[in-house]
Amino acid sequence: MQLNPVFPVNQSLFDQLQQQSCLPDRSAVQQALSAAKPDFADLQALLSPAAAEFLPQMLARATQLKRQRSGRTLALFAPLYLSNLCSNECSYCGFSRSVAMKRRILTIAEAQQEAAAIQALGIGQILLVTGEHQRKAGVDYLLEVTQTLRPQVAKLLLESQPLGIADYQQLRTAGIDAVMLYQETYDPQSYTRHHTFGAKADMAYRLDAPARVAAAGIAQLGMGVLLGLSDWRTDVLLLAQHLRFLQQHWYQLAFTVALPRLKPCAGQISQHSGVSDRDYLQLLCALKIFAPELSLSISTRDSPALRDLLLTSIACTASAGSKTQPGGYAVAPESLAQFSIDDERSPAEIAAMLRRSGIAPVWQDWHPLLGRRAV
Amino acid sequence: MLYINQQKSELQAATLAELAERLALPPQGVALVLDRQLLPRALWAQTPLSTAQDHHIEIFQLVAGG
Amino acid sequence: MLTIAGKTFHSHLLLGSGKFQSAMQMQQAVRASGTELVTLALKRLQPEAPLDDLFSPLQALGVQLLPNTSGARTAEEAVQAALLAREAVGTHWLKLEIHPEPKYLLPDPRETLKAAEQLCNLGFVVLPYCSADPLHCKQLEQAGCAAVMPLGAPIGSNQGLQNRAMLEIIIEQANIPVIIDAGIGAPSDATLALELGASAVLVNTAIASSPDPVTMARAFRLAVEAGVCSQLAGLGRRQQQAVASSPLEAGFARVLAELS
Repeated sequence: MQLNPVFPVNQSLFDQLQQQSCLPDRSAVQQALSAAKPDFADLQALLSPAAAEFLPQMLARATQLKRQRSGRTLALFAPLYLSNLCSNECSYCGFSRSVAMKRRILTIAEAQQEAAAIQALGIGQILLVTGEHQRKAGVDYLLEVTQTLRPQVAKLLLESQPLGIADYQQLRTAGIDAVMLYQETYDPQSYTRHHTFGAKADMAYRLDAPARVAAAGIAQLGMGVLLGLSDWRTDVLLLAQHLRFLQQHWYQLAFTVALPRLKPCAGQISQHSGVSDRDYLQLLCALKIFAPELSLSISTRDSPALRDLLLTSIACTASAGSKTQPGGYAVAPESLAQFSIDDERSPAEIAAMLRRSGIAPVWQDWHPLLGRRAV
Repeated sequence: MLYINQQKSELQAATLAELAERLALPPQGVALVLDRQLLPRALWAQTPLSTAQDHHIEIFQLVAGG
Repeated sequence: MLTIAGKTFHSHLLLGSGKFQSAMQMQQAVRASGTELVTLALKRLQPEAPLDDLFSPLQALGVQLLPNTSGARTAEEAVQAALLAREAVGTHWLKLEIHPEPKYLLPDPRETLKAAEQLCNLGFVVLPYCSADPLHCKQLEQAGCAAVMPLGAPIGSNQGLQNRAMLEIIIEQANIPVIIDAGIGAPSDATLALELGASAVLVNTAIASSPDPVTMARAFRLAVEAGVCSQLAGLGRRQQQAVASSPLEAGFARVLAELS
């Protein structure tokens, strides 16, 4: 493939879609719910205020689609925070550079220790997370971690600063199976307001990063927005358009979507997403109905009651027993977390809950001994 | 000896262009392979046919087809 | 408008020139069909029985000629045939077709992909007749083909769009024109193909073997135009019976009621 195609987003598009976001009426929602292949207009309807009263139907439909595709299973993963060093300033994040906190980056040995602690919980899918620090937690460091952990871990996912195609190719070869890249918001004004310093302030570079992951031949891509930074209906719609755009160019790509809500965090002013649990459930169901092929991933940011519902209905993957600070599992359990956790249950407790609801927990879906080839 | 499409031919010609004329090949829609080599029409006039050796000529023509 | 490899056509109908009673009838059908792309084959000349010159009359009609590689059973043969066709017709446009089995004339996917890769590298504008397999069509696209031509049903069978479900996926995923080739038996099949989102159809047998090929060519012209208009206007959607009415599990309903 030649130059990577560019997903076009600008302020006027965002504003225009936002103006449309509340227009759909009940009949548009009913039509969307019965569409064999929902289109963007259907998704708009499912995301609109008019769909709120159809939440039970939406949940039933999304659950049915999830079970039809993936069965009554849920894959468990855990994040492994490698570093909280960050050279960005983001209004909502406890790792922002200006936040006074003890910073650390795990050594390779410490990363191994953490991975072992996660595996001792039974979890074979590990998401490597770093703050965004190109110099200290750059591709060389990530490569070293990946190469070291690869032989012992079933599936390695990565959430780091956006990188270049060549970097992603190296990481793929080293054994990264999936890359998560959160756009945070597709609203340029809000993006600029919330990302005031550092490489992350470059919205275009971030927007283009999923295409670089795909071009590097990595088979699975995680996408998401941070709900609460802008109008969530419009952000989710644009996320879906971005996903379709990527699918059109890289048909082999598998998608995971995670849509965390803004939460209070260390050092930052108190903040709320303005997205209620019902809104949240509505948008997750809307996305699943629109694109049944995507995996919804649920973090431990949500409350146990809501998580029980999501994990046994529409979600395909969820984190469990998460520690969101470097060394949190074994090396230094006392340090400051990136965000607060609402569901503190252990993976074993989550698994027991799943089994009671007739859902089989999947601890790992691949074995390193089988080997893997780049796509 | 000349072989045209694997059949012996009694035709005699000094060049491919001359042969094409003898065969009344249409001015377009024909491709010609001389001794396993595809020869563009522009080269036919400058391509001699020796009588001292065998030449195998394959001629293809456009026909109707789906 | 149909755009293939940067060239624009008004007609979304491609016509195969085989199976007509005479060259004259074929030309009349070409005219009546409104097509701008006509396929041709290449055969060995029989010196004792030279064929009509098809080239000049078709050229006079102003259509783009699309030589095919029919008869080729392997990628290697197809590439040879393509080189001959390029020389004979003076175009680098090519309908690639490799069907090694005589009963259904189904395209060989492995050889087709192999030949497509080579021919694209040689600078041909390759339009492959291919299996209605979405993955195969994406691979052909990635090889650089200018379009894909999956079959609706076996060649000459007039069975219509038997592969409909797969064709819909192919159309959904393609970034190059999808031309439904083979199997289109009636003008209504052609309309349906365009309504499903195909860029064009290729028809031969249904027109050439009709008792009145010229009138049938006109019928296809109208059918294809109908399909194009319907694509432009946007079809009203067909409602499926609401699956959404499946009941919500009791446990879910309880949690839902308590959500903020």
